[in-house]
Amino acid sequence: MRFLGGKLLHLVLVLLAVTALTFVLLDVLPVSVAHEIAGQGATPADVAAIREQLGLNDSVPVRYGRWLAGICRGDLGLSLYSKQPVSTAIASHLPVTLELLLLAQLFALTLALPIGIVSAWRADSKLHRLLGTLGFGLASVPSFALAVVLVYLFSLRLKWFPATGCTPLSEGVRVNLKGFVLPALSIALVEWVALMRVLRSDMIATLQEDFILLARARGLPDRRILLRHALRPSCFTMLTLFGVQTGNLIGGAVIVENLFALPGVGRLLLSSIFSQDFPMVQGCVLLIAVGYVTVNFVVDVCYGMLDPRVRREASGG
Amino acid sequence: MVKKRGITFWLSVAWIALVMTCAVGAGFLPLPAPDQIDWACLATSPDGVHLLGTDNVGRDIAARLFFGARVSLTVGVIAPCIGLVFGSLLGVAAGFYRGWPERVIVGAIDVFLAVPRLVFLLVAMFVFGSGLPAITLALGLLCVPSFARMARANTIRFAGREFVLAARATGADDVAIVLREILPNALMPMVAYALLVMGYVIVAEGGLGFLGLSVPAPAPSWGGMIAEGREVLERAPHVSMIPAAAMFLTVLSVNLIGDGLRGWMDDRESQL
Amino acid sequence: MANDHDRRVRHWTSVARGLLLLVLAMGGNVDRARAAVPEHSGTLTVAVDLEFRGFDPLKARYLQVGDRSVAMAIEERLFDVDAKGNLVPQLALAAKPSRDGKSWTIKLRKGVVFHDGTLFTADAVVAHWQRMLDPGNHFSGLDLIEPVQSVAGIDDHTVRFTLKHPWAAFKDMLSGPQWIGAYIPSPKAVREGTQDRAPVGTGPYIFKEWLTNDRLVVIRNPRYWRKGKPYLDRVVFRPVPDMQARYAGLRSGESDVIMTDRGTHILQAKEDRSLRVYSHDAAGPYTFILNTAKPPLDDVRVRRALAHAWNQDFLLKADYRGTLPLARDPFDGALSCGDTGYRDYDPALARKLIAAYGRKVELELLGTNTPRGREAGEIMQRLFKEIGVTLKLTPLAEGQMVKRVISGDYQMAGWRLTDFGDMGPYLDASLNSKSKLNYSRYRSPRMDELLNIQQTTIDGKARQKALCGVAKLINEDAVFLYGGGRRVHVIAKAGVEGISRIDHGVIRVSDIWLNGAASPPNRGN
Repeated sequence: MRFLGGKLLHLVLVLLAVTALTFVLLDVLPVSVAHEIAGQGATPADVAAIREQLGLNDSVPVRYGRWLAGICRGDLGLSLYSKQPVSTAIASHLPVTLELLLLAQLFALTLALPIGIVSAWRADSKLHRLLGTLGFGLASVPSFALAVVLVYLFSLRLKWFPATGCTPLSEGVRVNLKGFVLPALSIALVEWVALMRVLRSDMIATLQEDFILLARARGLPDRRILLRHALRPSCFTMLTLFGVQTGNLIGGAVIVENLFALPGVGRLLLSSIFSQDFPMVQGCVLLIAVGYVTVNFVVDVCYGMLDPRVRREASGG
Repeated sequence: MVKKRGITFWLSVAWIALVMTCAVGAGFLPLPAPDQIDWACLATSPDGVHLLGTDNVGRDIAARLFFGARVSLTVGVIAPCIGLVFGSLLGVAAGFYRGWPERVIVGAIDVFLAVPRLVFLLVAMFVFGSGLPAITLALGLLCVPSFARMARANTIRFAGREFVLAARATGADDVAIVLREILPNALMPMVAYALLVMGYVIVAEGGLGFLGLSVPAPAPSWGGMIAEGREVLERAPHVSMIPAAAMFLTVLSVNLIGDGLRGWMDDRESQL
Repeated sequence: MANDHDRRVRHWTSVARGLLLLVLAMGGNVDRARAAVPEHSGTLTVAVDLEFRGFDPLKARYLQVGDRSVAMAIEERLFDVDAKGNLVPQLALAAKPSRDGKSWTIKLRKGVVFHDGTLFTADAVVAHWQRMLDPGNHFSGLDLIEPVQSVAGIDDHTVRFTLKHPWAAFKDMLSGPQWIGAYIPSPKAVREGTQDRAPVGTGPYIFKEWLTNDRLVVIRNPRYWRKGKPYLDRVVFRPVPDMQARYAGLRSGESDVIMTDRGTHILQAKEDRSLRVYSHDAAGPYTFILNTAKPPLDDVRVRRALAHAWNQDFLLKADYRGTLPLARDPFDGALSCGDTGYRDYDPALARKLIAAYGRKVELELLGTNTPRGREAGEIMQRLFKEIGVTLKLTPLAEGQMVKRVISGDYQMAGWRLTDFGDMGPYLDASLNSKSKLNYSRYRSPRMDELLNIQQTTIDGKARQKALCGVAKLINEDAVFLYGGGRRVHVIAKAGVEGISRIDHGVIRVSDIWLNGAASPPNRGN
């Protein structure tokens, strides 16, 4: 419980700091929100009135406090560009991003787990080296270049998957999923390599341990040893990395979302930055930061539960 | 067991050497300027006049590739160095002193990692201006947290070792211990890691270029070249694929070299 | 446009395809093979280039090209215009000018109902126009309708516009599909402040939902006053900013119709039998606007030098693959002026002019952050370098760029002149020294005089002479550099029928039906 409490406190402090940081960062930029709202042809008096009305004349800490209070009520302000509530826009973009990252990470794990296990099992073999080289190769392709090639092959040539957009779930799970295959693949094909490598090296280490040697001596089949005994103690680092990757993807799939015209958070963020829609940028940053921190918190906690050593260390130190 | 570095390692070294030569020698080679327009050749295939063909608006791809290599290499070399230096400072400080400095540094790193990278890059570019130095610095700062984490972990590992305790017993002060005992040991694996980061940074710069946010025109960047060539991908695939291949080979080489060096260091350490 | 032969070929291929489908479906739906009779069903997906701005004139301020198709699906104007520029009754039945030309009486259609149930009456027209004219509302297009003095309702279905002077271009302000003020919104939605993001009109389609960056959906208006229209159940408008993705989406089947200006795609689509390319030429070319108030552009020698250093021809060849016509005046054939003194590519002359100016010239060009904007900028950068002028490129989002131009914080910017049918009022607003919309900050008594003539005279000949004089003066003083004539392109799947014309880039979705054979009902969207 002390372990969890400490982590929670850390979580809250980090979130406060991130939001404060973005608030200040965006405050430095020379954009007059009041001018934006007043529109073209507004007189200085109009602008001043809006500044007054929005409380823009208050100091940064006061405004930050008010913004935080708003967040607690679920009010993130209004977009300067579309005039819709920021929370509404984010709510409509988030599911797309979540689906994309879940699918991408699912693909990545599907690739990383078996290949990692096999290449740890057959370390020092030709297969191991081949898989290693393949991994290196794929990890060296930028995902945007990969996306371009995937679209060319699978949408334009083979016509297996759509090249753009997402269909609402209401129109069928199959069509909906189909639209996510290529974007998720262009992320996963790059991401899985790191997962695989970490798993492989941990697994190789695990396979040297006494309890595995003992199991071998007892004549258990390889498959059982690998999956039942070696996998669990070998996947902690991979899980941590998995968490970090997932956290990064919440706002990090900007290019892929743009290339496939997916209305996700990354695209919302990029277009808001370009149109200097600051309430929207703040909202996105908040969401991404909360997501990132929360995912890592969850991973940390799981890690602690899976591996008692961590829990002891944390409460001891 | 000392692994022999295979042919791939040396091929990678050769490729990086080639890219470096091209980048350095870009100005001296008998090539047109990277923004020179050949009015008659739009997206033409490689031939005698244009070694690697021309892009959409008739600029020589070879020239753009070589000048673009300058951007990729500058960013790829300097940004990890920035990360290495500042990351080590922070990480060693955190790992050596523990207590509240560690808590502050670890917290700061967590905060930093939670800010979306794109927002950080764009704000940084706004503050430092757009241009190669600004992009390099921004990407360098982005590398700091991972180096800091690694340096901290290594420092903690070594701080309890016999040779550090022995040095302390002989009356060495903190600075001396960090500089003479811990840093040399902690640094080695980080240098190998820096090579992996180099690959990451080159791809990141490519992504910025792809979005049109990297170095301002007329300076070419590989990511930008890939993006420009997409429009003619089916008729003149070389416009996009040549820079894509260059970037792929460079990142792959850097990764392979990093992997080779790491293996070499592991061997050395196990021999110690 | 397709010639007869093409059409016949297409007809036969569609019949053949229909037969094939028939065989495949083993006696399935027979009438799918019939192409000639519009079907009353289906969903059309249209991909445009930018996220929609909104539809309240005061908030959105103007319609981007892609917004126009949406506006026209939901809202209606008093009049439509036919291909020859004649008024076609829409919400109004007839417009009659008074003898002195200073007032217009307009009869409105009876029995038309807004989507929210309110009746369309003179009040809706009057409220809409008074809202735009009220100086307190700071409507950005106010200078465009400056000659309108007042609007009043005579009875429930008659309104009268009172003008400050006779105004030849007034009709265009009632009918122009490109102008946000021409569309009549529901007064109730405007009052409630929802018009911008949930537009309500009298049009053939009813607004259903708008998900930012994803889709704007409209559905059939069952109470539409024009019987038998529209044909489609649903139209989905999708913003797909990445041009490559937009074209790929058309070819892989997610979109039925796309807008594009990429020459490569247009040429490719022309060779693709499953696609049809439509184009339309209009006034209002692409330009690079010069801020004549900012040094060194306040010196006419520098502007002239830039005009001679610029090579529009090459831009069209390289960036548009020859799919746009060369522009030498703002009218692009809509008004033929003969020689307007267009400044041809002549770097030697440009160098001489710069030498005469005598100082180093460094400039900044604002462009859109799109391949189009970047390529044009890079070509210009190189061309200016040849005459020793340094050009810095600043890529921005379109809205951001427009804002900087409006505020005067720029030297040069990529700029589309709005494509009015009658360019007179727009040119007056853009170049008159007294206008607030004069973003190039150009001041010339001669220009003011010419603009005044074309604004106030209704004599066609004199007006044309004045307008041509304006075009000449633009070239003489190098107020803009031209970046290609406004030819809009739309690419559609072969099964999309009824696209008759795409004036002003508007895809008139109320005329469109789907030829069933070409679009199987089980597709994604």
